[in-house]
Amino acid sequence: MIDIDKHFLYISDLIGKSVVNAGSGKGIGRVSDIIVTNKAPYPEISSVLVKPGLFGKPVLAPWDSIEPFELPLRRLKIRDAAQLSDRGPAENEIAVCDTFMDKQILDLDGAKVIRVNDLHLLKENHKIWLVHMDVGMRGFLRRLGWLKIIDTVTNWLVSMRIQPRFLSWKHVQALPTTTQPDQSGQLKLKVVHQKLNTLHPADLSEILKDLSYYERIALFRSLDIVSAAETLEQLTPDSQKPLIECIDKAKIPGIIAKMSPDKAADMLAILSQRRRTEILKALPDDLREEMTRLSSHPEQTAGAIMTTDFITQPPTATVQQALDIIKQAAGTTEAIYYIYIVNPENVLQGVVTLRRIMQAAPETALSEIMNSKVKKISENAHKDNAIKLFIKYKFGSAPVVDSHGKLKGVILFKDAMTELLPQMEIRLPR
Amino acid sequence: MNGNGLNNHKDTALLEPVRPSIKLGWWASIIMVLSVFGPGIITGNFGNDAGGITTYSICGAKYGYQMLWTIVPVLFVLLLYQNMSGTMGIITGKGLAELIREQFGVKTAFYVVIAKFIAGIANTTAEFAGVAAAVELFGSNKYAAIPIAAFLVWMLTIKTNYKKIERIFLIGCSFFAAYVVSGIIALKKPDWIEIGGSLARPDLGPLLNFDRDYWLILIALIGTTLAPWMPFYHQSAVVEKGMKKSDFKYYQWETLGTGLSVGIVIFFIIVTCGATLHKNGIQIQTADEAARALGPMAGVYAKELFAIGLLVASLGAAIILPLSTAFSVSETFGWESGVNKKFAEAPQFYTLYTISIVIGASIVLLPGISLIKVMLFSQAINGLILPIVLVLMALLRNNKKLMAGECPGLLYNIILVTATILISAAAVITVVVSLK
Repeated sequence: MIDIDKHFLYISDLIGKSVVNAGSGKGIGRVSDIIVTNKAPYPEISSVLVKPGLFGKPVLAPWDSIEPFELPLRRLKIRDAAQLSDRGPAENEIAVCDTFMDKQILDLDGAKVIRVNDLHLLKENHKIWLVHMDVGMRGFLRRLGWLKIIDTVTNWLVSMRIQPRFLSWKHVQALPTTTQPDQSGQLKLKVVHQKLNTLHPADLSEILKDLSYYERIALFRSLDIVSAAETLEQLTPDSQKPLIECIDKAKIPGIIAKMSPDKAADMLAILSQRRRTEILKALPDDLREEMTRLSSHPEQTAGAIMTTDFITQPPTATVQQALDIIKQAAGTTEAIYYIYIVNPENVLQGVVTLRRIMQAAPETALSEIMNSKVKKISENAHKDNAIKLFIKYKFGSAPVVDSHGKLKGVILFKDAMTELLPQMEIRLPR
Repeated sequence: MNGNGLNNHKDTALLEPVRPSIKLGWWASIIMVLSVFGPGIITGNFGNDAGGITTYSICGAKYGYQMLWTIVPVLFVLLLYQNMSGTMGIITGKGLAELIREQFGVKTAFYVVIAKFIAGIANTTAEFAGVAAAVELFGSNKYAAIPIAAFLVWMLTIKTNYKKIERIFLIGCSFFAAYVVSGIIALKKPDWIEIGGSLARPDLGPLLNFDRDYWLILIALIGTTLAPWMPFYHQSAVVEKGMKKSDFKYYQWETLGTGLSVGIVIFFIIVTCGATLHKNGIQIQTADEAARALGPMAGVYAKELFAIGLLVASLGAAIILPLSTAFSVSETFGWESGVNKKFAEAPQFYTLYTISIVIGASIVLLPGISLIKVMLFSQAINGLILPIVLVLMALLRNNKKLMAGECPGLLYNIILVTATILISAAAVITVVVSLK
């Protein structure tokens, strides 16, 4: 059986321990931090930061220069004091206490921001890995030095101990610990976890709301284009603004292309005139035209909340042709359940649902199966009318037409609901 | 056209007025300035709580206009520290307790916050004592009024969000005008020359001769203007309001507004008591004694207005103090915090808030409790924590990693260190005196 106490230690056991010269036994200082090299699966200790006295400048002692020891640790012995240096952590190195201790981190498993109370290290021979974050009350009490007393008391009272709460390194995303930009003049996360981009955009947007301004920007910058676009869609214009203003300019066209056009247009609308022109210039022609057209609709109208990303077909098209188009569009278009039938002048003639198409024979013309009694909304109508229509007829999307009956866009159910949300004065559970 | 064509409606009639595009002119700037108003004004004004009003009243009654000049250093200290907590809140986006935990570790944060928790309870008790005194001035019974008041202030936070509570507090702040009105009534024919003279050329005789009582009141004035709960609440409120770096220039206006509003209130309390109580040689111990004594001298409304001011100040502080406690403890332990959250989302935060109110209100209801002793005790424990908090704040304010290039210069730091030493000394002296 493995003796757990011989293999696991907490960073709070290590910090503050005295460091002495192995030969002479002369004191050098106290451990103030440990430096780990970030590698899979767990970061490994590479050196310790030793602080000589209260006002001394900390020096770095490579882990190889430390004599092997058994747990519990009393003090660290340095074999060769000549190896001490005052260099800072390298690119792939993390100063553990500085980055994690008492700081907030992102729990990628639970998708929430959480505070670290202690760090759990695994020791095998002379190697030490950072394996867990202690995020529970036990860690807090251990740091205070009250753990033994509290354990005794709870054991005596209710025959129980406070349970530890660990978070595996595999689910940890560090957050910036400084508001100062790095050498490149930017504020970004030092180590980005691959799993960061797998978080659901709704979770990501909730997390962003919980963070401070600087943490938010650094985290957002680290997202890939798809995650960034989806997360922006979840946020209110107020919270979008600082994010889009801080992001790499080169990334913006990609992000806008990945966002649904109506959301992207709304977002552009809140930016300053100069910034908007700048972004529009950088967009490809078709995207720019679409953005300009969408943003020409006054706020609060149906036109302002519609999307221009949907499927149309001429009445003469066959079911087979429609299916091919749907398959093609399904990758990027959200509104694939309703196929709108328009004449060559783009005037709305009817609608066919995906269900009808699936049921019909491949060679049937769409005009035969379409429903020509379409409920539609004028692009200048107040958006509340669109919402009422959704509540009344319960369909998935509604077409928006101009005064000549020409199809301009569709309003999606979820966008209509998003508009409704502020009026309902409810807060969604997290 | 097929379909029943909703587009046949008269569309324009359905359109709500579309928001005009904003040109950031004169008015817009004023609106921007007003939109950042809140945390500072509220913290500063409700810092004039029951204890503060008592001290100013005693000061006016005992020394007349002689100590009016103290408004200047008192405001300076208030604004200096409010500017610090506000700046740190805006730049780091974190509460003060959170920063202390992150930069100084669990132990420092825990013991500061635990001491602050005890002080918070004592202070809340003092606020409810203020409520009790105020309702008794209106002839009501504290055993009926306190439970109702406690329940109301509790409900207010549970049922509202930050925006609403800020609005309610700002309305509450306007009630401090009661002191101005009561002052104007009491003065009748104010001796502006005498008042102006004592402001412009203060008689510093007692100060230089180390008159004991004079110094004690001076120290108490500074002590009551700056309580440890204030920077904690202010910074957390700034963060919860979501103030950004772009609000910074507008935020300076709020600091100015705070200074003006607090200064005017202090001025009128001292002047009112000076013009009436001092002229007639009446000595007082508490704010309600002051109000009672004002009655026959200054007309009946002066008394009522004084009481209203005391009531609003105490009620408001009875919300803010427990909030400050709940914020700092939650931030230290890493629990969710904020009035924008619901009870189920931040259970520890609201539990702490509830406990503070329940204990504070209950102590006041204990028969035979000396409310003056409660007040003195709360001031003493405040004085013990304050120096530590001030030193931590000064260190945080100068932390280059945290403050994103907004670290203060040498002159600011000299002022800061001097102020910290003087206030700490004042705080410790207050403790020693109040324990005697």
